[in-house]
Amino acid sequence: MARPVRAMHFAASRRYVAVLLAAVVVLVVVGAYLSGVGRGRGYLLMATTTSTRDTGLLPYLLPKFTGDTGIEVRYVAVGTGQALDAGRRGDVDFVMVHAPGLEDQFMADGQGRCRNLIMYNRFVIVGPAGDPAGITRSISGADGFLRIYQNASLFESRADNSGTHNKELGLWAAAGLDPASFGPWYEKTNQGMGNTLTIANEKAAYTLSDDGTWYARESTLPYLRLLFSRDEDVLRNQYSVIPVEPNLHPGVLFNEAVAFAQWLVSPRGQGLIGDFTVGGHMIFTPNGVQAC
Amino acid sequence: MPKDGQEPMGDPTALLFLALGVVVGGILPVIGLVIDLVVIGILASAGIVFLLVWVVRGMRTRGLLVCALAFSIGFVLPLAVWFVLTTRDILQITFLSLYVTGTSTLVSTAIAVPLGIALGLHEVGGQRLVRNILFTLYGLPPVLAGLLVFLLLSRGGPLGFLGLLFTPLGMVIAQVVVVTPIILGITTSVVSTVERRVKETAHVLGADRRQLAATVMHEAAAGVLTAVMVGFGRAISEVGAVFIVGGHIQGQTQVLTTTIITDVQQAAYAHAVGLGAILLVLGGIVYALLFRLQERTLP
Repeated sequence: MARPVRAMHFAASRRYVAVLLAAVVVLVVVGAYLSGVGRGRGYLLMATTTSTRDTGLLPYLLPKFTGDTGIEVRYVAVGTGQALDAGRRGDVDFVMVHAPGLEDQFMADGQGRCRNLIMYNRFVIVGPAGDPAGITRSISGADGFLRIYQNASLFESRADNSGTHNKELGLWAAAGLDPASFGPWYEKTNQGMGNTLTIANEKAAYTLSDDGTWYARESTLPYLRLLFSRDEDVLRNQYSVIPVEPNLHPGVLFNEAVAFAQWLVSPRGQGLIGDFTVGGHMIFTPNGVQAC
Repeated sequence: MPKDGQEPMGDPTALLFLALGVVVGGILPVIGLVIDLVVIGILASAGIVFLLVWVVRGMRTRGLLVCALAFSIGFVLPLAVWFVLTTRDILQITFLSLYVTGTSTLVSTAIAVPLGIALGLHEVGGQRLVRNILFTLYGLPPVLAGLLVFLLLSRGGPLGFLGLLFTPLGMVIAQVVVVTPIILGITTSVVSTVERRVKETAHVLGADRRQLAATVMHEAAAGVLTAVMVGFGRAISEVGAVFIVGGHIQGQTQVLTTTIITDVQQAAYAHAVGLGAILLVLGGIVYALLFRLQERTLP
């Protein structure tokens, strides 16, 4: 009683299945090609931080390196911790971060071949336009933090073990304060600078930022102002480029990474860094030291 | 008096409102009137919903609501055109979104549908064990799947030699892990329901195993397509897993959803709303096609 009508449908669905499988094979092969399977990466891959990305420096700098050397550079922008971890895993060829304490640990663990200082910008304190804690009158960064504490003003901490976060903790310590004892005015975002600034803007809170991200974002943060900025050594935000140790990860493009580091500390790279502006402000001061 | 089933595309009223929307939407920015982003987002979404229903189902087009929706899509059209023309990477990002979503949905379908049919027809042993595993996978949060795939594909991990971390194929793998249980679960459920319903009748009519299977598959085809649609919906909206495994590398692994995240991080909200509108359109087109396909499978 079962009739060809059913069998016809079976055949029709067979056709669908064949088309489906063919499509799957084609698409996966295309994907493998796009992903450079078997060929190796055709470009240099860097792990850097969201702060570096947010300043807009990389889209300005990287094409010029490619123009000079023909080497293409791409990057993943993640938190400082993940950037360094990507270096430890060998998922990237080099790292560009700004967390000297964590970088020292990275080098001590033998994860990086050579650490090249390239440039610095400045940590600044931003806060609500009315400045309830009166930090514009501060004599130092630590003093500004002390005033925020004394006024119990809302403060957003990145709390993500980034360079900025570690600098913030250092300033609290310099002011003789222990964040573990702070009240609810001290909030932790566990996020990057961009998101933390957005939150501080929404809540009219103080936060520590690097001036590069601040100037890049300033127009989108109407309730915040840059309240304290000074050329102190302790407020320096030092950037370094570290090629990953090739003995630990034989697949990394070590020579290209070294070429990039050398280019950054050369007069050409340092000149470009010094010429970079955001909203009319020169953000980075080149202080390159070649180590590779 | 509009007739049911009248070809909607030719109706002048809705098109008139569409044109009116385009004119108003084009003029306001020129005369310096800034429209709130939220309003634009809502209008874009409403307009896209209208377009989809119009295309898929056909609609009588004299209703006031329909005209309002036509106006809204006309309103955002100049903005959308301007957005596409001025955004550098939009084509690359959109293409990659389509590729990753489409490939992962198709791969998941190829894996899950045959398996689901086999499970639903009780062709495979260990039914209860498989079902328990399946329900566990149902509860697997996509972001956790992304994390596990990341650890697998990282050079420090077991599959690191493939070099697939931070690549499009890696993103496809992550999404396949997320989407396959969904398609599998719904397919199994649909097929076993139909099987239960059809089994007795088929037996009485003297069908053998193969013919029973063919009958069940024919009856369940619409349900299987629903499973594929749900899986596709999951794939196109996935953001956590593809962010972790893809790394959001410019020119390489940036898709619409991850770019919305980084746009918000950088407070580029207008750009993000535009990308969201494109997501809606892409999803809508695929759903429309799948709906049409599903209609052809219904008796």
